[in-house]
Amino acid sequence: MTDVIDNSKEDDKTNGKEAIDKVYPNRLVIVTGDKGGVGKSTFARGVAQTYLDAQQRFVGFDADISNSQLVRFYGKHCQIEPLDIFKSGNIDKFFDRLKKMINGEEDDYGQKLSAENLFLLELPPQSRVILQKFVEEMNFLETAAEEHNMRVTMVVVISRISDSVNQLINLHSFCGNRVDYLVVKNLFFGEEEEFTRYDKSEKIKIIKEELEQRRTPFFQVKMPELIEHAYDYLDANSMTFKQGMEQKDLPSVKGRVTSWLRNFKEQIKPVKGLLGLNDVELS
Amino acid sequence: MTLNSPKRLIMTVGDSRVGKSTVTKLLIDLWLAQGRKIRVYNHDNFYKLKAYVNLVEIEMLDFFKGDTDKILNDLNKSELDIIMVDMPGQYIKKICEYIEKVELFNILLEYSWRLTFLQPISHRIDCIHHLNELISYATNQANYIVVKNYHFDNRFIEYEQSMQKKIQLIGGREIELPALHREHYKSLEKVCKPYSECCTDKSIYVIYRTYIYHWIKKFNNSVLGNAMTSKYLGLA
Repeated sequence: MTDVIDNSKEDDKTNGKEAIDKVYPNRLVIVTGDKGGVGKSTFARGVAQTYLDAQQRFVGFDADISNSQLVRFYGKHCQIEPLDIFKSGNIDKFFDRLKKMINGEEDDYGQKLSAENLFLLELPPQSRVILQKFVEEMNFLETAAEEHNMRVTMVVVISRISDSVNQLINLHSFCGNRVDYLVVKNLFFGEEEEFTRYDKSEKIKIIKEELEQRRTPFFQVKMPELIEHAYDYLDANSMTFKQGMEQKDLPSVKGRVTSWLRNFKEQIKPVKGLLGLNDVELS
Repeated sequence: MTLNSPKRLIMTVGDSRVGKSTVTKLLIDLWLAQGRKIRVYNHDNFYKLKAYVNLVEIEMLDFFKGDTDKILNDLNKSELDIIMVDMPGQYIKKICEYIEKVELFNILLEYSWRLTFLQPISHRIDCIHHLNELISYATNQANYIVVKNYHFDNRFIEYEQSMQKKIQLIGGREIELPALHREHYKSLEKVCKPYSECCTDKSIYVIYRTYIYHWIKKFNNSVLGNAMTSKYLGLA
């Protein structure tokens, strides 16, 4: 049976509903997860597919250059730009480009950009230091908020190990209440209640309380597990989830992917505002 | 010989030891007699269908390791008419979850297959709970066949009181597996040949063979005597 988010339960652990529905003109969704293989790319691909299905305009940035899944799977279906953040100066350029896109200005080549208001950035593993520098030295979050009317959502995909928890604590230490938080329990690593290091962390509890007082959204969702053979089939063929659903060769892949995506959308439905989908009906 | 479609996926459910593999074997003989192209999957015990390994493709699956998805990929094989799967019958909830996870009903529709659940029952009540759960879940997205197995008892009071009406309402059908004397059944299993060949197998005592012959014939009549029943079981 499909898993349904239990809202009553969710309310205990997460912050006010009104905060989630606050609409910002522009939103940047940053998918982080400091370890490789935690499910960042899968989540980013799920979000990209959701945007496409909802006909929601967005621009994707794939900063995971060594394993650029977003480009590989979705590059042909929507605008995804590769971004090597490890190369010095590139993150500054990214910020400039973001600003130009928001305002629909001309780019470096004199091409007028269409005005965009939703951005999806997937960060590579081990990029926390760069992110921190970017936030601290460039005042990224303040500038984004004050000059560009843009709110950032930090998506943190977690596994069951304590590194995941530490990463979240660390992220909060330099982002504070200036971003919205979305924690994603990747059920590939276990059942929902098995994320004990996260669920029982005192520090996380304090962070949640602090954010709640400041009315900053902190939500958590589950990402369903996609059975290995279906995952591998999409991977081997660089297929989007939609293509996996539409291909006819393997009925098992079709069924598994269809059910996975439906489940994925059900999970993110309660937090769609954090993903820039406030006014969009998720089917 | 090409026979009328649609193709049928038949899942046997229910506890082991109520006659699932016996019914499966009897049906395999019928399908082969009608020239049906079939594939058989087993989640339970490969050995039970050993007598048929040279006649049909039989594959063993581990339900809890995701092997069951293999069955779905057969729905794409145009040469097949029938897929027979022995489901791990005691886990009805898991089966329903599985159906949900692989979008089975939609997949069947898309590839033009129909689904029949086949459950042998005895006089015992727990058989009926399984069936009830299954019908509540799958409703009219599948067809249902109840096999009354007379081996244990010739009365099915629990079934008649609590399930029969529901089965009838949803268009389900009953068939009968007649009782076969324990000794006759034992000799039948012992030769380890397809049932259809056992009637002429000289190693079985001739009187036993006569009983076996009539036992098979009665079952076949019960299946073929009703057009809807035959249809649900992929037979003409």
